Amino acid sequence: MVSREDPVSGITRRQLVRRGIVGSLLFAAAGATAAFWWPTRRRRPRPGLRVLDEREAAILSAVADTVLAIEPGVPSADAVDVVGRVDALLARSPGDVQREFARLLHLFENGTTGLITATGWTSFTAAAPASREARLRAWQTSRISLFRTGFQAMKRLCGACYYSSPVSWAAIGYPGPPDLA
Amino acid sequence: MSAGAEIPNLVRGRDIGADRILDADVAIVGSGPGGSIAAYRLAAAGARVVVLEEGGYHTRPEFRMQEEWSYPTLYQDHANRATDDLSITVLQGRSVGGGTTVNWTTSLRTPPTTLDFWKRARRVEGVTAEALAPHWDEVERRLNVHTPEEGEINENNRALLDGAKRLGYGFELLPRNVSDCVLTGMCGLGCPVDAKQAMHLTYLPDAAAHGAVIFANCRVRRLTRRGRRVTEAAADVLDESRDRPAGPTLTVRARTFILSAGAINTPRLLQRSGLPDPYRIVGRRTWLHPTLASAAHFDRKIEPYFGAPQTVGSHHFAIRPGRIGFFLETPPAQPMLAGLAHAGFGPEHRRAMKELPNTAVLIALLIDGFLDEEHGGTVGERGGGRLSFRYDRGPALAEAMREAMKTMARIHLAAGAREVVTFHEPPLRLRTERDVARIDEASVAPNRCGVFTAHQMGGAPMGEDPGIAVVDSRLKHHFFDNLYVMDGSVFPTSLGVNPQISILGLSSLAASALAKAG
Repeated sequence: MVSREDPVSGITRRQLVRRGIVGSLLFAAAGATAAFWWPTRRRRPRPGLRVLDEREAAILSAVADTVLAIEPGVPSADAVDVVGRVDALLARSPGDVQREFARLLHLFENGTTGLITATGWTSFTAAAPASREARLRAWQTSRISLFRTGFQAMKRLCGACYYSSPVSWAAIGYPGPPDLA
Repeated sequence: MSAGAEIPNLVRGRDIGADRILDADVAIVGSGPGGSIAAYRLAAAGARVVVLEEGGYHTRPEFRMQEEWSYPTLYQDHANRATDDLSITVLQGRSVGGGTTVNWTTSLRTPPTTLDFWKRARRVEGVTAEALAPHWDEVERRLNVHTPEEGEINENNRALLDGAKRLGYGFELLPRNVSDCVLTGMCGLGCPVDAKQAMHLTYLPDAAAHGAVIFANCRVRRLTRRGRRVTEAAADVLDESRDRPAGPTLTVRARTFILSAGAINTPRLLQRSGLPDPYRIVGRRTWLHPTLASAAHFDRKIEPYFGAPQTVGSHHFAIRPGRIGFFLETPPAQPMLAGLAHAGFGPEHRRAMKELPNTAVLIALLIDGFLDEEHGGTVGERGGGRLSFRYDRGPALAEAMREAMKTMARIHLAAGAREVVTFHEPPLRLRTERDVARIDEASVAPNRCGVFTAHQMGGAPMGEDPGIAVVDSRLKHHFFDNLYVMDGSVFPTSLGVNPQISILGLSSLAASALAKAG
């Protein structure tokens, strides 16, 4: 039941589909795009963030903007501190989950992923809004299961962390919980 | 509103400063419905009972109807539990009271057809509606289970009722375990007025009144055995703020052990403890009632976040011979759950969120585990001791997913919806019956269509044949004389109804027999 085989070698497509996201991402990173892999530059964490570093925070912020499609006059993802909320959640999660999520962020940012999904080779944060949307769309409907998994991870986290904040409610007409006093 | 009194004899992790070793007659792992009623029955019979709960002890003053607090605090894995590929979101309770603290109050008995199937196909003996009836009667009295009044049906549920009526589908009012409910609609976040008769307000204080001691923030790591007996349970005391071991451990030596950690965590504990599993069945055949959702926009206010959820249901499609049946209910939809669940991203997601006040939501729960081709979920471990959880999908599941989504769309359109929005990636927008046919063409592959579960069952099934069952029909482990499982993991298939009353009834039956046997 416990599978311990090397995640980057001798793996069938069926196994890929059945693997956890860790194995799948390693496969994509090391197996398919090793030559273009962006080295992860660890920087000093910005104050308040416990798990994500500067670069990861910037990627997540860009992804959140694209997922949430904030319009003028509506609190931005940064105003709701989506990044800080995701970070707080990660801080309470096991180390494996933290590392897995960081890998996923780097995979989003990685220009090579854009090549695989045929949406250009610039990094996600450097891409224009339309290109970012195309990148997310490609992940959303990809025939490769790990991209769909990655899309869901980002969409759900951003959606949950943004709309759980009272700051986001007025713009969607949610009056907040009833007053029981 | 009750005073919100604390459970006596409850110890929190932060109050345990050093390693402790306890002796007890009965050690129970988990404080959901199974563990709570077992604790009460055995304590009332004179046993010294210890309950170990990995979640925290949270009560009404903390239940302020905020999703940002409730989901990370009261659900497994901070509400991020899912299958390994994230294709099925697993909502499962994790606090004192387990799932009963956060469930949506639906209180239905196990359908006779399900009990008959277990007897016929899975060699379950003596678990009949007649044997369970006195236990259900008592449970329903204690939890004040009753059918809602007409005036308690909110607009969200009204849409199901109206649509089903127009289409000639059967429907029913769903009994709820509440007293003096004020219809906040926040059942999933912990009841803010203690109306919901959850375990931390009912059977746990009852058990404590008979001397049971309940430990919160204590995660059982491993069971130790000698021969055919389990000798002790070793637990890590958790630092709740970080959700990591705080340092001290708690060891309970007992004459009898009862696992009530829920489907997924009970099988994991059996696996982690290395207990014999010669037929490799522990953690297999895990059933989920895989749940599809459908949203519909109306030209009037629905406010799906307020009012009692699940007052109306339909079992019209529960039995579909040779296929997977499903039943329909009406969930609450507060913004975080909606934001997480709605398909799509960018403008389409934003548009769905802006329609929330005018949105009605339906869920269809697929009744899995009755067909030979189904294998269900598999619980195991991946690197670093992390839970691995997979769910096998066959053609029957895909067919049922599509039928369920078409049915929900038809009901909402019949109820007057302007458009139905599905949970496909990307979502479909349907306005007419002709549009509904597009569901047949849309992919239901993993992560191409949202699937959820709030009902985890199986993984340590009951039955008389040790080749296909982990515990016997009295819920005693086939290979251990003093080890029992009393929770949803003993169900050989899914139920076809929301599980709390089935778990309570069956655990009550088994715990009473155990108490009598001494």
